[in-house]
Amino acid sequence: MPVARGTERELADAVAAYVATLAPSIAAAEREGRLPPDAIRGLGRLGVLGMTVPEADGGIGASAVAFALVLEELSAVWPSLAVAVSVNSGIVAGSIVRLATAAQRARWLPRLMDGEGLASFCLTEPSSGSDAASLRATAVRDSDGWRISGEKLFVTNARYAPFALVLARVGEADPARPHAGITAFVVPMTSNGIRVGRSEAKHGLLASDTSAIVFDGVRVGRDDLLGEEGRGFGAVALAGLDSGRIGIAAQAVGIARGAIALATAYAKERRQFGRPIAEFQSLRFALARAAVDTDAARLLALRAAWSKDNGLPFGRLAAQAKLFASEAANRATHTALQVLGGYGYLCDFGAERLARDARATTIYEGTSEIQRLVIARSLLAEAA
Amino acid sequence: MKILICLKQVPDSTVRVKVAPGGKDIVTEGMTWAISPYDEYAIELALEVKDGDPTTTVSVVSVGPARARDALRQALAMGCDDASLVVGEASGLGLSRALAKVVMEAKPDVVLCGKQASDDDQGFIGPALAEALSWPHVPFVTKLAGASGAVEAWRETEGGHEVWKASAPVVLTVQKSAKEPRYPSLPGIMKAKKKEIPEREIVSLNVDTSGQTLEIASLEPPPVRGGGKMLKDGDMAAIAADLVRLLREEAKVL
Amino acid sequence: MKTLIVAERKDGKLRRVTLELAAWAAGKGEVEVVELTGERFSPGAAAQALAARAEGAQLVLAGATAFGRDTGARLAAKLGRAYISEAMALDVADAVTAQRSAYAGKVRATVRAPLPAVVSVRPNTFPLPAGAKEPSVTAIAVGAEPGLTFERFEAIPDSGTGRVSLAEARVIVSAGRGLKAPENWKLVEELADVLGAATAASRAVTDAGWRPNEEQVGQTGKTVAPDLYIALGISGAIQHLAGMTSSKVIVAVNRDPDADIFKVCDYGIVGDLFEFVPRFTEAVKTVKAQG
Repeated sequence: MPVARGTERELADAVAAYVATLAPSIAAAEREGRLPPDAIRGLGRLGVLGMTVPEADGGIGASAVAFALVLEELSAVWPSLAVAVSVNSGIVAGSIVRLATAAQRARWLPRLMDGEGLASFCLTEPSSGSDAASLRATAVRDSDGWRISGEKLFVTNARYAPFALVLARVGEADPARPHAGITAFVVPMTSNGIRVGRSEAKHGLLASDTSAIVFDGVRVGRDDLLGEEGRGFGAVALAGLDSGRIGIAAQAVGIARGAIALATAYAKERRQFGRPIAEFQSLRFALARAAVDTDAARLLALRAAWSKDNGLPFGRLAAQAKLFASEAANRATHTALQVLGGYGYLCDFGAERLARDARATTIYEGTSEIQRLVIARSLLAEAA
Repeated sequence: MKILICLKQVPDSTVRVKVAPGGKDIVTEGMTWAISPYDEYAIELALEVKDGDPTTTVSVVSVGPARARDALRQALAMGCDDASLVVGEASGLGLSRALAKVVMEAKPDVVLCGKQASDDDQGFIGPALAEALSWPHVPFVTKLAGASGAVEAWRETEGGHEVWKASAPVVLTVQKSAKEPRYPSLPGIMKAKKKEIPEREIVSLNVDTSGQTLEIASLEPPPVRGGGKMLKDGDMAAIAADLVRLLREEAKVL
Repeated sequence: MKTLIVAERKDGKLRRVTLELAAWAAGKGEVEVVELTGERFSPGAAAQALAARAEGAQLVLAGATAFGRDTGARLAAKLGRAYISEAMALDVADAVTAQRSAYAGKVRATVRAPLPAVVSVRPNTFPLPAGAKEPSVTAIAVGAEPGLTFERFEAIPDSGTGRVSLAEARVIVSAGRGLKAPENWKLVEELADVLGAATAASRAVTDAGWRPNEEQVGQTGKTVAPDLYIALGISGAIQHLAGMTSSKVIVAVNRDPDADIFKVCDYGIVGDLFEFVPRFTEAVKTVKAQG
């Protein structure tokens, strides 16, 4: 069984105490559509950004369970911040730790942890999402390096990234081998030929910057190649996917928890027909459902994280956790909004923000439909 | 510089405190404990000195029950170098003598105490410790700067701060300062986990821990207030006039 | 029984708390009032200067000011006596029994100590009868303490000096987050001026740097018990309430009808403080002018 106590709980509590201090800056940051630099610096000082980086590289090498708990805490208060951290310290840090040479680790990892920015991951393109075969960005040989060209969409942290982890194809696409040639590069955002497009106007997660990035013949050297040429899709995108899903599950749990906290506090205070609305049974049933949903989601997420920590297969567990938690978060935020009634519909009360933020969790890192396919595929393979 | 902080674990400031049946103690079951707030400010002052001068060492000690270990662990996670626990109960003069023994063994340049612990709120131990050591003490310190063999301490008084120069050794009692105590960082928490917190029994100090202590005759919750009048008749000008009248005629405080 | 009172002076006049202590002690046996003189001395030096006089007194009293609390504690330690800090009620017979607040104001304690003892007493604990005679005061010179040198005084600009001190004030006007911006502080000051009140703030206000820390009321700030405490735009966090619920009369003004401050107030006004305060200030001015 997954466990969450001792050190892991303490790390999460420390993050909870910090993120609570950010609460007053959330509304303005969501309006402005960007995370305040001070909030990111604070995460750096606290050591959150180095959680997934081994101690030998200057991080703390925390477990996947601890990271999941921390993402839940961040998300319970500010989901936009949790998303930004999970990209920087999840897929980007994780890939570098797994694949980079000693010299590359020394060059890149400190910048993922210092709080001066949050790194980006560039995979999705206008015509390519979960389907690798249609990836169009190219890396064309240029003396001892490459020139990257192409357009990437839905890039989290684009505006404050020190560098981006970019997937581009070396050589021609081969429909028979869709991953062929796809290579991972770490590209400094100050490189010539990079253009960050305007921030996307989104439904939720408003303070988390999401932009397009256009690469126009951006020159990278051998030092910027992450892992082996031509193996980027498997080594970065696929390998990072399962861990990323634990992260989204943890975020969803946090959102659900935040929503329940709002709803219960309101239900105890708000009086109608001479008593607190918390005394009405219909409302109690809804809250109980949300509480059980959330706890079940947390256990699924922690089990996946625990399996990862213990070297066990966790792909299906991560997909199950992500599927269940994201849908639970949508139900819980819907419930909270309903409990708050008219106030739930107002922006000042937080419930509608969590409901909008929850919506993303059933979409990114593989939609609910994709998760079902992954789960079913695993189930059927087992039965075979 | 070598700094030693005496800290106490007390009920967390955000929790409600209930008086136990019998009225001599508080309900401790299920209590959330924390470092006494002024001791936290003391830790922050010390760590700021250390930030500016990495050769500074910051030690913490607590005399109290075994659970006080959590408070010491928290201090280590904030960045203190080492911690030790003296297990036992003492208060007043007896406690100041026990702490004095610890201080004499550790030989720090500066001892910091919160100006009072948020349980008995007496504010006795800092001055009494200084007296037991025959050291000077500067009270209500909100800022601290190291100088060679001496410290400068900012003492809050009405309308400003007196700046005192103290040649080591000295005891400083710490008041809330503008700089909020830092949060334990995640690496700090991991490091604190790995540190030993040596523990000894208070009797091993071989000091007389008796002495004049206060007998608690009773503890009660503060007088219940409530049943206040809500003024809502008329516009704001009418309400203001009404309040003036009530304060003069009913409450008789104007 | 002999009582020794350690006097304090502000702006050349004996502090009100000293007068209160003297009035209370009068008629309870021999009373000696002493005053420490000297430039900027430390509590250790003060205790040293007092020790010989205090030896002969069963009870040493000081006001529970910053000075009195520290000097009292150090003196008690020096003499090996019991010390009670911040007494809010005091009864002396064979032993001294005092009421005081503990757990940052969340608990009211009755404590007992054998005589001889040293006690610091909160201002406003004892009544000051009209026309109470000023006690005669013996001056005791305080010297320097080895190892300590006073270097300089750094004034806090715009601190409440010139006003009555927070600990001794009979009326306090206090403001919280509802004040919205530091420039609105003048509303608080104008009201305090017509009431002859001290100004105070909640932690939100001092943490934001709008007001100096020394004006903070509540846990990690001051505990006050004036006759009248006017809370403007203060929600009433438990830490703040702990510092002011012993006030005799509490007035609360807040926009949020559910604010916890209304649970402890005697008079509550749900509304915009920016509308209320100027009108209240005018109304007070008018009645004060009528005498």
